Amino acid sequence: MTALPRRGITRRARSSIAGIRGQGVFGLAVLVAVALIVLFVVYPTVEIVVRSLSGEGRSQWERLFHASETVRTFRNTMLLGAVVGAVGTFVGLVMAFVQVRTTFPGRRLLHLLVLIPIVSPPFSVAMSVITLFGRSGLISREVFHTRYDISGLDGLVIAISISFMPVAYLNFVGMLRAFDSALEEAATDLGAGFLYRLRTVVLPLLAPGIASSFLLIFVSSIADLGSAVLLGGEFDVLASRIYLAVIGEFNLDKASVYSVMLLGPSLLIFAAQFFWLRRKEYVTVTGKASAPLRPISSIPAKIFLGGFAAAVLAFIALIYGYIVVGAFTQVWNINFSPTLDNVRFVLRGAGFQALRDTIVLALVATPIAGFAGLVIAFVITQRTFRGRGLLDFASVLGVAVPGTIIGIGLLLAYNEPRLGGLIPELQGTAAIIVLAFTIRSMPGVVRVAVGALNQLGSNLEEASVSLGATTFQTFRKIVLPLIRPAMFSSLIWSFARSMTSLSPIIFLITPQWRIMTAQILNEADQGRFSNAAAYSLVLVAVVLVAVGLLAVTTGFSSIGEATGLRRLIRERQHPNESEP
Amino acid sequence: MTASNPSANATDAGASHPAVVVRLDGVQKVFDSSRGRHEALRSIDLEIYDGEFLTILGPSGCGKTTLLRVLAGFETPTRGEVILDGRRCTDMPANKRPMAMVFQNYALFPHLNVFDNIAYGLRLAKVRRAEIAERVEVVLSIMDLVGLGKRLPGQLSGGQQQRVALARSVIVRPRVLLFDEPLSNLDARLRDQMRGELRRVQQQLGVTSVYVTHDQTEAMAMSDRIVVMSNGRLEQVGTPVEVYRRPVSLFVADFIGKAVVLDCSIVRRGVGEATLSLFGEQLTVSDPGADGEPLTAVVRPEDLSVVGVGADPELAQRSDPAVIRLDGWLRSTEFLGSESRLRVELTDGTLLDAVAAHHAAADPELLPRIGDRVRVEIPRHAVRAVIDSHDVCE
Repeated sequence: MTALPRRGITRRARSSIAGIRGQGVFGLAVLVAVALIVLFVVYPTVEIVVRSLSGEGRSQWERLFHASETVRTFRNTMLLGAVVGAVGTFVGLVMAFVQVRTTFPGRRLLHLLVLIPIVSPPFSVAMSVITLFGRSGLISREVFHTRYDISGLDGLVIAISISFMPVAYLNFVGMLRAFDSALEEAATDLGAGFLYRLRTVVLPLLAPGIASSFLLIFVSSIADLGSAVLLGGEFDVLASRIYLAVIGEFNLDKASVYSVMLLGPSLLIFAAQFFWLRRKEYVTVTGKASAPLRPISSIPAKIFLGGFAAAVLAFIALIYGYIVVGAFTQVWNINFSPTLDNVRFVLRGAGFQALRDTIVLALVATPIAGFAGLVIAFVITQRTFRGRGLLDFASVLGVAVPGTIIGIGLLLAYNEPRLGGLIPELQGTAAIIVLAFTIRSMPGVVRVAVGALNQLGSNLEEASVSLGATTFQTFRKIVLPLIRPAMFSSLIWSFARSMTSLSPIIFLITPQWRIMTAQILNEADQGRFSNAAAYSLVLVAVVLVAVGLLAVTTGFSSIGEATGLRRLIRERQHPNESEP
Repeated sequence: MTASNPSANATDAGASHPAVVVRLDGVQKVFDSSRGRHEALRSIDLEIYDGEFLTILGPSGCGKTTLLRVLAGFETPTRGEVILDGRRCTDMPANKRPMAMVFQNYALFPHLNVFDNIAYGLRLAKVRRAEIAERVEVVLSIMDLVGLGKRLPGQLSGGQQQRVALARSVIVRPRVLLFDEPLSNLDARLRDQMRGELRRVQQQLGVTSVYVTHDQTEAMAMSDRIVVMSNGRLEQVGTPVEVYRRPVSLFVADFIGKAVVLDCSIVRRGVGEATLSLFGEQLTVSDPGADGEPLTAVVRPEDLSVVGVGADPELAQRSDPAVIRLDGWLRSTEFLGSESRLRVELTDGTLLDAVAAHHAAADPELLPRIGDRVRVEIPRHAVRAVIDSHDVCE
């Protein structure tokens, strides 16, 4: 892959604007960004660990440690993560193959369908799975005539795999598009057949992506509280235990202990992904295909890919289609007479508060996350900044730490005024929800901004500085206009993320501030599935409107078409090397 | 646009050189990274004169780009000073330095049109709108870019982009113009053309220029002076003719042009002189190694003449004290149009590469043929002693 030396260049390219030091505005911004991470991510997490080790927590440790059910819960959690990681990665990989390497019709539709789980709350799949395949589910009842209960590992694997499979899909689509076709052609030339090429060339090169997709899905799935609560059944996992400890017993010590058990593996896996895999992956992703990849021609492969993709798509369509059905029927899965009552409940009735509150708070959080993320990304990409590696890692902690833990941590950390009253008590306020949204969506902004900034390279900035501009002027006149489209789309996705997230805010909501995802879980828990379905539908609609806005404003183009950034990148792919 | 700077503040009055614009004093640059310590520049002393075109030439990784970036202010030296017009500016940030850089990939701002790209530095300097328009028009016409002001960089050819990059830098009237391999992204034909154009603009404006390249032809063709770098050190500083005809080290001799290394031993070394013994003859040449560094002898391949013994019966008897004669066989020839390369195996088995230029009076058809007995003649004055430095960096 021609990309191999590329990393060195990119690293060097963004070497140095002569010192961020002495640039007042940036100094301040950096301070604010660091404070945000330290105060609202690191400190709450530490607070949980401290709480779990306090007197009360220690006795909980002792009790839980010796209980066989705790061991089982932990083992269940790891098993769930591993199975979902494997299944989700595999499905994502196959779907990406179909998207990039086949000429099947409807690949655009495939793309849209596969990405639906991203714009819907993760546990809405679980909800639909219950109503379709549960003990009295439509399909189990009417088609298979069985009373089989899908709650448990099997149900969770199906629901969560579908929810997080898009992570792997997007990852692999990027990698496969960047794949240098010459490599495969060379292998073909040497006499390798399809399967042999797959085994010896394609898969080994995708290996870092496979590993990192697996790990990311692993971490996300063990933190998925909504699905675990709805669909876990007898199959205990840490996420549902934490939920029960807080909501059922309001025992924060117990919840802290469970949280630490969940935090350990999550951070470990995330660190592995971050420090080791991401680097390897970068090498492969940046390579630019020298020629379009030839579609797969092997007939058995095509049959397999086509059949598999059709099945997955049908399943996704069924899952989400059934939510739509639920939203417009009297009692989902039982009384199918059509009605608008459920949707009216969300848009006009008692449910409207949640809709309004969620949108308002997500709208407040989005620009904060955008600004902070941009500043952090800018700092991370400066070579001259000491400790940027640490900041880089700290900036992704917001997603590395499971959402429930962020939520409980915020609760523990800010249940009284801190910093001598500088930060008031936040428990029960809208601010704490905004904070949770911000923390969770900022890492995404950072990644997008870092990517966009790295593509710029530093020559543009150096040219500007060399012509007399300060760092701030350079940022405003050169950097910002060039990364604006990327930033805009990352803001939309931040908004989507805030709208659909459950675990970080589930413990933070109050009657004054209601959040839709929590309402959905609540309604489903109470058995009012039709209301839950209506909420889900409206939620997806709101997010789709936002994404549609993005599509309209950027004309469906990816990051840089409008700005010429794409061309710039292309030029950078073939520089005559000067010095390493 | 009249940017010619009268050398008003000469720092070394009395010297025959023009005023010194930039002086580097023991500049050292060390990069510390997780992979270890890399000394990119090892104590560089250099003076850059007003109005000159100075080229920094060297292979990849020799530190030439680092040196340029230290000048620009993008890197701060680990040790040593950068003095600009007599004032210390080692820590002066890049945007405060009266220097402008032209980048290898042009670094044109892709979202700004040609006019806005060129006007960028003037706007930062708060130049009046009318004056900006006027100055940009002048530069556009100097650079042969008239009528392209509204285009985006993406709509320009490589050569045009190159000219816009140059225009953007010269318009701010920098004290020193810095070039980082600006021609290496162009194809060969355009490169030749731009080389001339760049030099023309530089001379027209009289702006002091520092130009980094790894292409020796470029360096020879454009420069007033060449700085040859290797492994973080200055190997030699001099005019193109000096570095070509009087290389001080084997590295320089080999990097600029081709060098034929001759087997020799040192008989005696005096002050600035050394007596060498080669092919059984003694030869006194000037000694570039002030500190007794190991020496070796080189000649340029075009200084060797190769004559077929059979073609000229009198040759065997002819003797000339100014030339060293060696017998051998012609082993291979390459005809390259304007010249031929000949490889001769001497009677003691040594291989020598010579170049025979072809012009109207030297018909390539009359060259000896492969396998012929030949005589190689080396003019004594063409033999040079050079420092035998083996630390050619990669």
